Amino acid sequence: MKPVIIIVLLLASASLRAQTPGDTTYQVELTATASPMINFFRLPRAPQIPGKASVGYGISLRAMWHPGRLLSVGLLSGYYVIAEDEISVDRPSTSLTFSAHLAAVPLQLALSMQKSGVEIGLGVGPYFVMSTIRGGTSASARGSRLEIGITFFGSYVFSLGESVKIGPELRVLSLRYRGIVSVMPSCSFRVDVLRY
Amino acid sequence: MKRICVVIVLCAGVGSCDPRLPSGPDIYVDFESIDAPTAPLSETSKSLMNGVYEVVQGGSEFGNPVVGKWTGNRWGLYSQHDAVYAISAGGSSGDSIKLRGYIRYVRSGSGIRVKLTISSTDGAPEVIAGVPPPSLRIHGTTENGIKIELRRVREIASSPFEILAHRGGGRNSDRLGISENSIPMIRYAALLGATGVEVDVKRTRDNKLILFHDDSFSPRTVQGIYLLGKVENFDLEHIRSLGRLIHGEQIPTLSEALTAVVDETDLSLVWLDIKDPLAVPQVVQIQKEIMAYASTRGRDSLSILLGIPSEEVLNAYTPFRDSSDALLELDVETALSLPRCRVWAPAWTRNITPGDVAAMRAANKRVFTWTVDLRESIVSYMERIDGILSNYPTLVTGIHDSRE
Amino acid sequence: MDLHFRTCRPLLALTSLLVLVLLSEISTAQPLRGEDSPQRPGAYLDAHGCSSSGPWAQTAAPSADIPERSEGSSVDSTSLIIDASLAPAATYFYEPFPMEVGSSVFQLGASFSLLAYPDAEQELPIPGIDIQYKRGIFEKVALVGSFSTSYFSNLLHGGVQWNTKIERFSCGLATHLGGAYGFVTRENLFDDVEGYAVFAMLILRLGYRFDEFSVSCSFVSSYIINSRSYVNGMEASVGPQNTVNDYFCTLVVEQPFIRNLRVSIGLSLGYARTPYHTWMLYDTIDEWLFVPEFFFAVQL
Repeated sequence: MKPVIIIVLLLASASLRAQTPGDTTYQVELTATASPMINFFRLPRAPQIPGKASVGYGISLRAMWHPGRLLSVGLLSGYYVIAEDEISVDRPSTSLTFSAHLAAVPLQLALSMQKSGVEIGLGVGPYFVMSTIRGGTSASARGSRLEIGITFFGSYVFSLGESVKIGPELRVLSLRYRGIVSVMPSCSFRVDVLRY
Repeated sequence: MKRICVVIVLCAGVGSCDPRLPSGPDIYVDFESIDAPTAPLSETSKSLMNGVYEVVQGGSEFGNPVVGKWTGNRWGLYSQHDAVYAISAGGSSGDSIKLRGYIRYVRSGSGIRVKLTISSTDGAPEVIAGVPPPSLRIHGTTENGIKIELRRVREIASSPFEILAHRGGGRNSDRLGISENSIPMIRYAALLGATGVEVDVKRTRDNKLILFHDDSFSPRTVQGIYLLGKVENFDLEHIRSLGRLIHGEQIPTLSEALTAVVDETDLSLVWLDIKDPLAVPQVVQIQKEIMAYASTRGRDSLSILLGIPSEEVLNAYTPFRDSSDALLELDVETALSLPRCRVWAPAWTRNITPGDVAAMRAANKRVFTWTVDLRESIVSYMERIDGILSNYPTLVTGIHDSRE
Repeated sequence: MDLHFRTCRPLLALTSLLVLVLLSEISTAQPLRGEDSPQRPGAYLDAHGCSSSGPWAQTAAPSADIPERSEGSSVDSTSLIIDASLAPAATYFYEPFPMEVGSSVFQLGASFSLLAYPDAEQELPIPGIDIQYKRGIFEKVALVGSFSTSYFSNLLHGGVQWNTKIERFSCGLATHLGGAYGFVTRENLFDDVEGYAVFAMLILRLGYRFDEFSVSCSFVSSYIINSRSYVNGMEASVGPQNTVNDYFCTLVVEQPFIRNLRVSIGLSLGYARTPYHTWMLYDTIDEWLFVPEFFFAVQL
């Protein structure tokens, strides 16, 4: 919470200091993307799974505020399914099967620079990582943890109309502590929602 | 422009100030293949090699002196200067003694291989024959060319002292290549010079007891991306099926770990660190079962102590105060009031007065402290109390055994 | 593992060279005289006081030249021309562009470091407040100071920086002297511990100025002159002494954000034996660890 307060105070002081009425246009954009994810793991996802890669999918939302310059700031969130596995475990007298699911929700501060339709930026902050395990002989189990991650994104958009743009976007996210790096090639859909 | 170029070129000189970068912790040494071409030494021969050694060469690695002693079939060298130790295997080969192994620098997680030899002119024939040699010298080299020469100067200090390895062998287990709170680490603890281990007990969702320190699973401690968050959210079945400890070991139950202590080690004490008061009744039950089993295996000297770190755990222990051996971390008065409290173990930063120690000893109880890693503190406490829990049991061993 | 003092000769040589360069600059420098340096708003001044006419200069434009933006047109920042009569010459903190004598930069910002888990048994994010100040004292020489605090750990350092430029490229070299102090009390875990260190820091900065922003890269090395840790008043003997303790590589983008308010945003990767955040923890671990950091600051 404290970092958020610091950021808000800094932005407020920057706004107050810089604001001159009338001659700068401020803009708020919403960007939505949907894409597959290719995930790479530092360690095996489970003892029974030797591979260190998986395919998932995700959607993301980004709200950016442009105060008339190259740099814009905003918030980044979404929902990513990182891995889903059916895991069989052999026991002496039986075999158990588990369904396991790992997902992440980014709750990040986004910063980007835009010029001529090209946007390059990064999101920093926590991911809310969640796991669900079903099957075996037990009731399902859920776990979650906040972990710090970083998201890099780059996109190019074409105007479809006055306020709507569309284009490809590439995103790379890193959950360093958990040892996960994901690549998300996607299509982004951007809307100017506010201009003042 | 010229100035800039000169500056940039000289900046490259900064790169020459690179310190030695640590190598990885995984130094695989096939001890069995080292043993194979040599003949094992007798227990008498081994006892002749045990002792305090002057470091004639190699002081940069070990300091001076070092302690050398056999643990089973492994020869250990323990520095009293820093957390540095060496483990070797081998035996007699003709009229010399040949040992091969590694030196580990525990605080940095690095290590190097080492070869040690006692030649025929340095006392090997006498040692092999089981006769005290007139002098005993060990020569060796490390894989990066550092020469080692040790000269035995005296016996190991024999005063009883409990050296306890934290979390089975020391936290930050990536420094040793074996996970903390694991059965392989419990087996390895004696090679670190430990006489006992402290292990952490956690309760799963289905009320099973496992060895685990943290409240939550994390990439520091486990492999398996689906084990995420609090331990108490998962059943034992989930934990054992979908995860492993960070170095690949199975996460042990408390029963399995204590059985391994009885069957596979000569450790004399196990300190069960319990933070969850709801685990106490089951811990007491397992404690009784294992002590009975130990007795059938001739391990009557083994102590398994239920650790009491808080008032909550103390309250949960109270119904068992007459039947379960315990170790108390709270105040000295409470420790004296509990009939089966065998050890009083306050944190090392608390003021342990000579009067408190005397009172405990008068009540036939021992005094430990935890977790002591600084050399000065270890030296200070060693003279005053009966045992130390440390992340660096090799350092405690080196200091204790090398005293005159 | 320790780097002994005598093996740091290149570091000493570099520092000595910097001192010589600084002394020569100081002895030959002449402060810019207002009448010799037409300060066109938005223009960047080189060391001889001549206004640069490079493509990055934002020349004053009569208001009639500012294009009208039609209603409903999408806003692209490249289409904006700021009234340069209101725009001061851009000066950034990290970019080692030579500063105008007497000009200064004052920044307030925040940083978030990720402490490696061997130190704290988890990847611990440590937020901090950063205050930075830079002032041009001679033609190519600036005085620089920096203070970072996360309450429990505090870092203060300052020194002189020599800057120069070629076209859009700039380069700076600085030596700083500083201190770190930390403390924490947590019952039965860290009972009343504190630690401090005194260090010297060598900084190399390289910058490139684009039309609308500046990118700079810094390489930093710190050399610990002395450090101490105390636990319950008892001195702990661990801690680096007379040795290089860490290296940092920092990438920063600096640019105007809202109108002419300038911000610095950057990522830093440290490679440290004892991260300064943990000075007070009588760190017994002797391992080099990566410490990434994200930071941003606003010029006030």
